[in-house]
Amino acid sequence: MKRAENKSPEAPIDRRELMRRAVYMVGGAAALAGLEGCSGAEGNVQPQTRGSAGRYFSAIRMDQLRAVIDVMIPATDTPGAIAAGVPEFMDDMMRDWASAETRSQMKAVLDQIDERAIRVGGRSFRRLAPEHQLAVLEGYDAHSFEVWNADYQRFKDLVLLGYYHSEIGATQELRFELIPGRWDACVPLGDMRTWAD
Amino acid sequence: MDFDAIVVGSGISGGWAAKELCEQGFKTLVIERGQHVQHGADYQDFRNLWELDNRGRMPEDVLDEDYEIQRQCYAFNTANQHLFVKDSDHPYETPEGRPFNWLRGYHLGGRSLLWARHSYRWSEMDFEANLRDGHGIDWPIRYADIAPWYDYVERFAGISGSYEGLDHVPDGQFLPAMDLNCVESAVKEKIEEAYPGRKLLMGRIAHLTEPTEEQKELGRGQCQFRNLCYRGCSYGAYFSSLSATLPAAERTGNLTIVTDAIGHSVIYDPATGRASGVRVVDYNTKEGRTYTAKVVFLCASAIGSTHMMLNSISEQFPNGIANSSGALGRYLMDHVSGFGVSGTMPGFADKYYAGKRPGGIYVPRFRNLPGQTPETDFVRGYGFQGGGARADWRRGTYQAGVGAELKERLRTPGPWSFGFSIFGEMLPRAENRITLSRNTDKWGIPLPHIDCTLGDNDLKLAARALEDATEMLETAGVVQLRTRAEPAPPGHGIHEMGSARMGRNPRESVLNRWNQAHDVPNLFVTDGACMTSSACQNPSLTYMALTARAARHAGELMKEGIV
Ligand SMILES: Cc1cc2nc3c(=O)[nH]c(=O)nc-3n(C[C@H](O)[C@H](O)[C@H](O)COP(=O)(O)OP(=O)(O)OC[C@H]3O[C@@H](n4cnc5c(N)ncnc54)[C@H](O)[C@@H]3O)c2cc1C
Ligand code: SF4
Repeated sequence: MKRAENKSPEAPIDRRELMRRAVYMVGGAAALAGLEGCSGAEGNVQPQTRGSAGRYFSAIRMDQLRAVIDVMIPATDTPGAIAAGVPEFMDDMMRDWASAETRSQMKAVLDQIDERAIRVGGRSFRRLAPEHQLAVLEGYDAHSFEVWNADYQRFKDLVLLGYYHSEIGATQELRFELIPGRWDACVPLGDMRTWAD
Repeated sequence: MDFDAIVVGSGISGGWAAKELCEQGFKTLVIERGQHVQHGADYQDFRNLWELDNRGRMPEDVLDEDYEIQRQCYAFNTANQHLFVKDSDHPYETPEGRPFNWLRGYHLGGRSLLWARHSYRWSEMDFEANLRDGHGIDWPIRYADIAPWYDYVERFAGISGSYEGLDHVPDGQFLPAMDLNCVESAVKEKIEEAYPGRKLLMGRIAHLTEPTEEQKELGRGQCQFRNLCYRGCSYGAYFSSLSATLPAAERTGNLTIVTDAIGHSVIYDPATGRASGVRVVDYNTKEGRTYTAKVVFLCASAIGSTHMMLNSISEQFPNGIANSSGALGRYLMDHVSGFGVSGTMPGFADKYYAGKRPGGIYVPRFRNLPGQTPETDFVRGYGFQGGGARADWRRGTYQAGVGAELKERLRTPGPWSFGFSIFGEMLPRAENRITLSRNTDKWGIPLPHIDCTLGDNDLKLAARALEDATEMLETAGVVQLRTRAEPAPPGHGIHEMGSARMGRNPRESVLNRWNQAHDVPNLFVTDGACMTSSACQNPSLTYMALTARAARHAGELMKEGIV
């Protein structure tokens, strides 16, 4: 086995990261503001449009996934999970992270949601009107917690991770600081939002 | 002679040995079995959350195939995958039904890049413990022998902490402590009021809260409160071999480092009765070669050093070098750990924190202290680590709800939680033992076989620790308690130690009071292998102090021409 394999696949850091390192090291927390513009590139995932297949999921599955995720974390006064690229994140995770078992669990969850949609609304989830989609997902979610559906819990965990640790989720919906530069141990909450991490 | 000194291993102990030997003017070779890791460039500490591979989650199949043991370490993720061994590449054996979780990293810097940085002194009570209750043999040193070395290593490493005046966890040379958060302060107040003599303090952690000139000169900077330490810290704000000891050794001009060189054995010269050097196997080519020196320091971690000694066979030492006592490999210990209790702290809804403090609280031992009536069902004691925090978005996974309502709810932090995890002292027992297997690894080296279990006292102590932790949380007003009642298998505490113990008598110990092998005067073992008992404090600060002390002693012996 070659030594290099032990390293993480992206260990050789790119130029952007080198530059960032240099600036942060000298400027600490204060340098963050000035460098904001160069952190965007890979953070802003371009959400794909309907009807296109993912790296793992088929086009139809991707549409269904998008519909479910859009209802689960919608755009409100801040962008939602679609803008944050969560469907693409889920798709990537199925390819790069999930075991065969996890993949079939995630598919099972999508199937269960569709079954419920057909039972309640007479058509598959992605074809329902938005208000019906919400009702179906609410019902499925509530039921899943009653019967302790572990597959769904894993699904929800991934969606939340995908959203709250995306650039949009962490910085627009919640709060995130890469280099806090201080520890304020006890402060009034006021209208502070949850820390993303 | 290739070098004055060889140091095997570059982790917490090896880094100190290298620094102290180099600073005394000795040409020193550090032999490291893992790859070269470059301070800064090989860390992912400037990546945002959304820039981590798989958001930090290790691929499930890879975990199953390659990381059967390491996956159990809480700190393991995609950002530091290169700092943990692949279990599939570096196997060891345990008897069926008796697991030992050996958590480790093979690379320059060793686990100094991964440790949680809690640093506590031992006290007189700990060095006298074996003598007093008859478990294990007496330590050949006392607190007074090591106290100046604690001062010395603390000043250099940088330990932040509060002065408490406790005899059993003595104060040291501290940088300013980090603050407790609102809930931790409240718990502290309640516990200290309800239980006179018990204390809750901010953990003493190896972070530069106010770097000294000496630390800045080495390129180390102020802690930025990011809590990304397990990825490595480009600021050098926590103590590691790469941030502190190896740069100090390097600037003397006396340091040579060779990586990808697996220490195979110590070479014994029957003519002189000394170690003449070290045999290594090249990680990549699998070819053997040797390095010679006047003294050899083994700092390959407790099991690593013992493993290498067991594999150092000669006519004189058919059962491992410096093993005339037969104690080599025996009396392996860890801390009784991996269990504890946590719950919800009501109230404090209008309080939060800003910044990410890289460490939690500490409750020092409060049972079986000198002057107290001894407990009847167990000897020794335990301490707690832990802390308080507010639930973040992750709680959404365990709660029903979707849509705008879910988003709105998770925008505000959830309830406070507070918990203790327990670290108990484990007694030294002869049957807890490392031996050599008949099977070999891919470099042809016999695998370590580790047979280690918790004993009767260890389990009784654990049960009592859990009762105490539970009662203290209830007293502090923590509700909805969740308990992890079972201690994890040994090894899980990542404080494995013993197996080449120090002692006064060469017939029952491997090392003398200077960490010097009784049988081979130019062989020193200064990592956790040397420990004669385990106390319940995190041990690495003690390895640092013992290593620095031993290196100074070896230096004096070399200068006097004795070794
Ligand atoms: C997640 C985590 C949290 C921890 N938290 C704490 C804490 O809060 N406080 C505390 O005190 N301790 C803590 N520890 C334990 C601490 O890391 C160890 O006690 C310490 O690193 C031991 O130092 P060492 O030099 O003996 O071994 P290591 O730091 O493990 O270094 C050993 C080095 O030797 C090398 N090596 C091994 N075998 C050979 C060989 N045959 N030839 C050549 N080189 C070899 C290894 O590659 C490695 O670089 C923690 C550990 C982990 C993993
Ligand atoms: S918390 Fe401090 S020591 Fe840890 S990574 Fe951040 S700056 Fe470094």
